[in-house]
Amino acid sequence: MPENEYVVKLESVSRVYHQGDQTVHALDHISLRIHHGEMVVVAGPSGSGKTTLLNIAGGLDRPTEGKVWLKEHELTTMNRRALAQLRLHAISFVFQAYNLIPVLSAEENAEFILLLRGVPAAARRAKVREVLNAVGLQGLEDRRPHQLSGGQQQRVAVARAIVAEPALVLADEPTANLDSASAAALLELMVRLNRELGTTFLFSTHDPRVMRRARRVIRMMDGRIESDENIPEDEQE
Amino acid sequence: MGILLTIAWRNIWRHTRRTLLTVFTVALGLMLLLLSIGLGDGGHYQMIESSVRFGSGHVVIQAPGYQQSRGVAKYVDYGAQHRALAWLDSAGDRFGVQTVLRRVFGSGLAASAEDSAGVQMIGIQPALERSVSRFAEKLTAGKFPESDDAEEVVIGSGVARRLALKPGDKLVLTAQEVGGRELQSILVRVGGIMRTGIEEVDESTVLLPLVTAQRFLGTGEGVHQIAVLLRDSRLAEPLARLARERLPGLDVLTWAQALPELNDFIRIDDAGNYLFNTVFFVLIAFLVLNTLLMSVLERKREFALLDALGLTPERRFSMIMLEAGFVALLSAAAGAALGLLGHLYFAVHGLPIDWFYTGEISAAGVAFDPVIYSNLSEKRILGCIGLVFVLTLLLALVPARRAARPADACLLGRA
Amino acid sequence: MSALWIALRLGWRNLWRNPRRSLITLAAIAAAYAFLIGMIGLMEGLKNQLLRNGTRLQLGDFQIHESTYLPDRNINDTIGADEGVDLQAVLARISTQPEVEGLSARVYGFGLLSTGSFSSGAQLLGVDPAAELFVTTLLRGLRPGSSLPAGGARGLILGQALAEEIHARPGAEVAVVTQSADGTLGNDLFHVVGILRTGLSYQDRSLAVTHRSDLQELLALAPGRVHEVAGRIRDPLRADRVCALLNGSGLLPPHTKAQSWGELSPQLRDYVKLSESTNGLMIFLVALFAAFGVLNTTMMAVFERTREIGMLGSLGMRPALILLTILLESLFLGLLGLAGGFGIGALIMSYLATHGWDLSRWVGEVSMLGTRMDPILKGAWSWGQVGWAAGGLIAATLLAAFLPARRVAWMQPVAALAAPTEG
Repeated sequence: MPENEYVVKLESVSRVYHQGDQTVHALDHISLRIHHGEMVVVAGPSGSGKTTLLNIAGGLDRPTEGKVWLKEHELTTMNRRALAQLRLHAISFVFQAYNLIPVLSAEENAEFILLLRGVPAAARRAKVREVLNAVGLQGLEDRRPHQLSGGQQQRVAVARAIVAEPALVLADEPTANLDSASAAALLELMVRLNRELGTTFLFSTHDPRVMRRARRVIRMMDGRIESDENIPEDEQE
Repeated sequence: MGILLTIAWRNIWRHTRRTLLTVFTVALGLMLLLLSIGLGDGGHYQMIESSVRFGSGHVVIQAPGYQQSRGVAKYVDYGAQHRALAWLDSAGDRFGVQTVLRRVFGSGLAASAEDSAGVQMIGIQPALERSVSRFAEKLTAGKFPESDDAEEVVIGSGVARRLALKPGDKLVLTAQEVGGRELQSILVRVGGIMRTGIEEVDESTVLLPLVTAQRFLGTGEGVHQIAVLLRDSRLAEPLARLARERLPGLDVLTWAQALPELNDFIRIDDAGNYLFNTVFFVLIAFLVLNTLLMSVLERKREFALLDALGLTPERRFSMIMLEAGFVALLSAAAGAALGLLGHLYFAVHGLPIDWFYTGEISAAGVAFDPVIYSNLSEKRILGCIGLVFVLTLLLALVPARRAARPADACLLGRA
Repeated sequence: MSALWIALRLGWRNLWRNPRRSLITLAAIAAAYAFLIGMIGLMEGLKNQLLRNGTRLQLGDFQIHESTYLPDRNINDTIGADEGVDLQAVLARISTQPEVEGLSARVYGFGLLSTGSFSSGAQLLGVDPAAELFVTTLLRGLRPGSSLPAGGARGLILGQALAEEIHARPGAEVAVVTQSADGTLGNDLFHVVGILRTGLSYQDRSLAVTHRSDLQELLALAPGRVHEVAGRIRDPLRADRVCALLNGSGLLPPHTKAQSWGELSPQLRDYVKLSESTNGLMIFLVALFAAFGVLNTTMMAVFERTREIGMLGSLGMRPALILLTILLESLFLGLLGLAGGFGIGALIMSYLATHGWDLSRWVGEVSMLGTRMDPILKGAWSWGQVGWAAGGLIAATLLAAFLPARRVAWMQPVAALAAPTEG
């Protein structure tokens, strides 16, 4: 794959927080590239900076030093409005929990991004129904989040991510709150999407099961990258 | 218990903004209450003091039936006067009697070279009245007569204008004397001109020295009114009650009975004030209850935790009550401070009426003083603060009981 | 526009996430509005009553005098000076002003009344009873057994307190002594035909009403000489306007001036103006307290939803849109509260407008500001004030929601996402 065809590029990115009289170096001069279609996992213990890395890659947070690109957009020079636009059109987040708008049904949640983009109702409906079926939620379209299980809620979040057709999906410990069966199912879904649609995924996790499904594992510790390995296909499960 | 106090105190500062907002709302309500009562009471006392000095006294002793129909023949004769004055002398100290004034009333015509006008004549004791009543301080020209039998009068500014009179000018007073069918006239000199601000008084009042008036109207030694001025108007009622027992055969009235209109006005004004404040407090109570309840409802997990740690329902109840108590204390303190500051300002500088009204205003036959001074007794202040405090604590009972409920253990399990 | 639609839908549904909280806040707004409607109604009713009593009892909506007559009320300063005027013609001319509904020509004097052993001074008022009834309600306060004085009959109507003072009852003979216009002492025997009670203490103690022609005769005034023409117009609040029109129209006799009740009784006018500002102050205070309540609620709601708001930001929803959603939620709350409050308020008002608030058990009539307050307060509706109250409450609600919402909507999503949702 050509070196310059990346989806995400970080160049010497650092992120420093000040909490009271303490200074926290969440990220310490990180450089990396993520290419189109990759399924990357960022692993490490809590406090290693995984979440911060994802937030910066997605434009939710700004680095104290360094530059960030999403394709040709240099995030570090964009203002808040532009970043929001970018998130709307090119980036999807899946969090550990609280992904959904509580007052909207599953279907309405899934179509929300299209709604924000101004896509007309007929086009939205068709697309969303199709995707909800694909993730196995047919029949549950009208349920509100509190009427769905944890696994089902996460699937709605993924459905929303797919419907948006983003360049990048950032998932921050998406399986952490789920039991093993749901976690496995969710993971399976995301792997399938990566293969079938070629969507680029960047995960953070400390769940070994998730790490086993990834093709590239970046290990972090104390804000620095310890290792960055591609796992050949035949070694994956 | 000590630890509960500490926890309760720190708890209310966890949401600084919310606590401050609640404290501020209640404090504002208390401040408004204190200001409105202070200015209301102050205004009313001023009206009372004004009118008792003009026309009745805090307690007034009259011949039976005089209040209803004021015939000049209904006077209190010498013997009865003597009895009354003697008794007042003895009972005086107990009730803080300041002065006892005797007055005679009549009506007739006043004529000068220029014109004539109908007048109400009041026979007064100049020396006494000068020191206590309002007439003297409203003089705009000339002076008060010197003695009880001088042939000098003080006329209202409206009378002076209509009859084109200045101090020193002569005028003729005509009236019908007691029992006679003939009209009597006397020639008197204008000693002074007064301006009270009450149109009815200024347009038609003539003050005569008492003895001169008695001779003119033919009441002999009799007077129509013995007006008692007290240092504290609140003692009027007890004095009047005792006087009725000790002075049978005479009508004894408090200012409220002698001036029912003024009394009514004050009562209506007070009622309006109370109504307003009550509804206000209901609103505030609503809001405070809302806040307290919601803050308890959102701490369900915390209470479950405390329950698991061993804090009994009674203790949880006490904790909330203590929190409410602190909020009440802070609110009461802030409200009292603000209210008292405002009260002090208005007690010293007063509230000028001309912020609202362009000229002079009157109600119930009394002119408002141009500046109203705030007047708050300790009883009132403590009453208001106590009310707010108790109200807040009462409201806290509902959420406190909520907190004491057996907790939902399943709330503890989640991450 | 889809953004607005999103905000409307989310805003409305968010309202019902915590029904109890929303209902309590809604109830508070409703209570505040209902209270304001009631108070405004009472204040308006009181104002109307004072105005009506002030003008309709004796003053009239406007008065016309010879320019030198006030304030001394010299008996010789009649309209048209010493010659007087053709009364019929003058009244007819003034009536051509379309807003004038009634006119009464009056004569004033002062006299000493005596019934033998008792006497008192009195203000003498001479009117044409038929005309006077069109202008004021003065002669409607007659006690049972009274009748109106007819011209030439020398009938006298006395104020109640005055009658009691000189011990006069209907039928009694009263000697009236006065100084006439020509300088002589006028002296005549009248008889009492009625007793009057206005409720204005000054009038009841000193007013004696007779037929104009009888008083003119007593005062040695020609029939064409009157001191005052009092008038009534359709809408008392237009009195200043009408007087300006009259004064500039040439319909008035020369050297005369028309003055409105506001000019003649500045106290009353000031009160009318004051009661509007008082209402404004009251609306402000109530809205302020309502705002505090809404602020509290919104602060709590926003606090709970901070993480969710961060999530919305992560989806790409713009802060302005998030803010709009929260504002619309509050707007719905406010509008629902107003609707409820209006319903309750309307009920209260319909009771107050028909039955009024009866204070007569505790207080009697009170004269103040040159007019009289009756112990039964009826409410009166004022759309203007009620509208202001609604506006004030909505503004308060929106402002109270704006402050906490603004802070959170513009937070960096990353900070919002990390926020705790339980206190």
